Amino acid sequence: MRRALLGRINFPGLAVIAAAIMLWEIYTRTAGSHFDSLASSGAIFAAIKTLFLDGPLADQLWHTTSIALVGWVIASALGFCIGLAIGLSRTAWTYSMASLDVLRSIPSISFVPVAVMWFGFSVTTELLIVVYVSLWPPLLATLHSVNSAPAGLLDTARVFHLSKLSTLVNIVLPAALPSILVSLRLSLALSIALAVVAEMIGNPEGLGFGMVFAQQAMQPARAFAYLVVIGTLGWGVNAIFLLASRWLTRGYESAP
Amino acid sequence: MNPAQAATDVRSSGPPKGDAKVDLAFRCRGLSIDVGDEQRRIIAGLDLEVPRRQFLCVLGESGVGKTTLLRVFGGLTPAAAGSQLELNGQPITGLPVGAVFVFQNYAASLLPWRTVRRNVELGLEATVAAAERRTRALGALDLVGLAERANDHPWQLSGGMQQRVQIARALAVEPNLLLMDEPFGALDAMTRETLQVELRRIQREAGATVIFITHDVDEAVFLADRLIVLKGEPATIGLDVVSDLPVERDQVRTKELPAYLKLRHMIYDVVRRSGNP
Repeated sequence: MRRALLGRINFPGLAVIAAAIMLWEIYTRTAGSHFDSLASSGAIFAAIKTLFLDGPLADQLWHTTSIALVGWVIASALGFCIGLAIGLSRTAWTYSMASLDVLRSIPSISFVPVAVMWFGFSVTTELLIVVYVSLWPPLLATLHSVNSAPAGLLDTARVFHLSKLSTLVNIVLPAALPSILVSLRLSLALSIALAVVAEMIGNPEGLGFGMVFAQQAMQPARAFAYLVVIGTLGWGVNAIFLLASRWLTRGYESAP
Repeated sequence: MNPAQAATDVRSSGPPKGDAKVDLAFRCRGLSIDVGDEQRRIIAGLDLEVPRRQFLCVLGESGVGKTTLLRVFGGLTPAAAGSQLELNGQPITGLPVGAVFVFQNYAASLLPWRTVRRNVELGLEATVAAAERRTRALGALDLVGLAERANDHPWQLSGGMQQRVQIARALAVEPNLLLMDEPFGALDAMTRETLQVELRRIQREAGATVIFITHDVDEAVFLADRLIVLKGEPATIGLDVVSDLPVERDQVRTKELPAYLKLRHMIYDVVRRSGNP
């Protein structure tokens, strides 16, 4: 088991990252040392440690992570249900597709000031932004994939007299699963990104706020520290989701 | 035989009509089929009676309407008004219970996320309890020789095996009528020959009635108890002949019999004849 795990670690990739960190350290201490706005690798790690142990980083990390995840779960459920309803009903499709096309073309970030106007600088604003933006990938993916179940499988359902519900549960949804999982992975990344953005502009809490605060206090090491933490959060959550999604599609020929 | 006479030569060798004692699995009367936006008539006034346990092969050139005809038999495509279809003595409206279709594209009709056994159980899920479902599925897999692969996924099997899984799935529901649309068309020659022998064995053991579509004359002559050739636009039965080949057939010896060659020749005469009847 240990050998299998060891075999899965990407040693070349890790080596490149370690080398980059060291090169950055060398650069900031030599040629880049006159820049006030840069911080060396060592300084960044020290800042992370200080912020975590003595500072607000732990709380902020918890805040951003929980808002992003809660928002993502709500958005996924909502997006899936709406997508399913529109995908399965010809009437719903006819009446809603034009509006959907318009809405999703509006860049999501431009809704942030609007949300701040409505709900002020609060957690509600942040959650609303996360949900609104993360809604779209699962909604569109569900809508389209539910409508494009492979014809051969639908014929098979008819041949064996499967009820409409049975066809949906046994054929349409499993066929749609890979596509929906990809959209969920995308919306997860969006959730974290938009939570951070909302914190920068709309809600003075969490990692986004921490980063802006460090920037305004002219502390580059701390600002970079937040950047590293945000990046690690995104990577970690994505990795966990990938594992879960591979397990869910373990029967399929190719994982998403 | 002059061409005009031969083309309309329906030497019906099925049971005499009106004989109530003969057990018919399937019958159609005056069957017509229109397709496309312009509702072009591709099949006109077809009469057919298929006795139980008969292995019937339907031949014809590409595009004559064999697949559409089979889809109509299976209820996947509607027939034109005035057509009468009966399965087991009951008129067919919509999708008949008791007829199962086997598709040429096995990969597109097996569920890749289910194991082989659960794929075979698909048709039983609405009506049969779990334990009995499992027994019947394993029984059907045994019949096609795939019992040990029950827990694999379809994509782990070769093409020939996947097609056998589809056949097992059809047999698991114990159908009155098995409708097979060029099921071996996507397979290589050796697999095809093996499966042809297997299919005859399976059909005899299961006592199934089969309507088998193919454009391959040799395949049809090897498999069939009775052969029909569709011909013309709109298509009608150009030839209907009962095979006089022995019940036990072999890919090498049977194909050397004079009866085999004669039957083959007869069919090619009808199929190759150009022009409409």
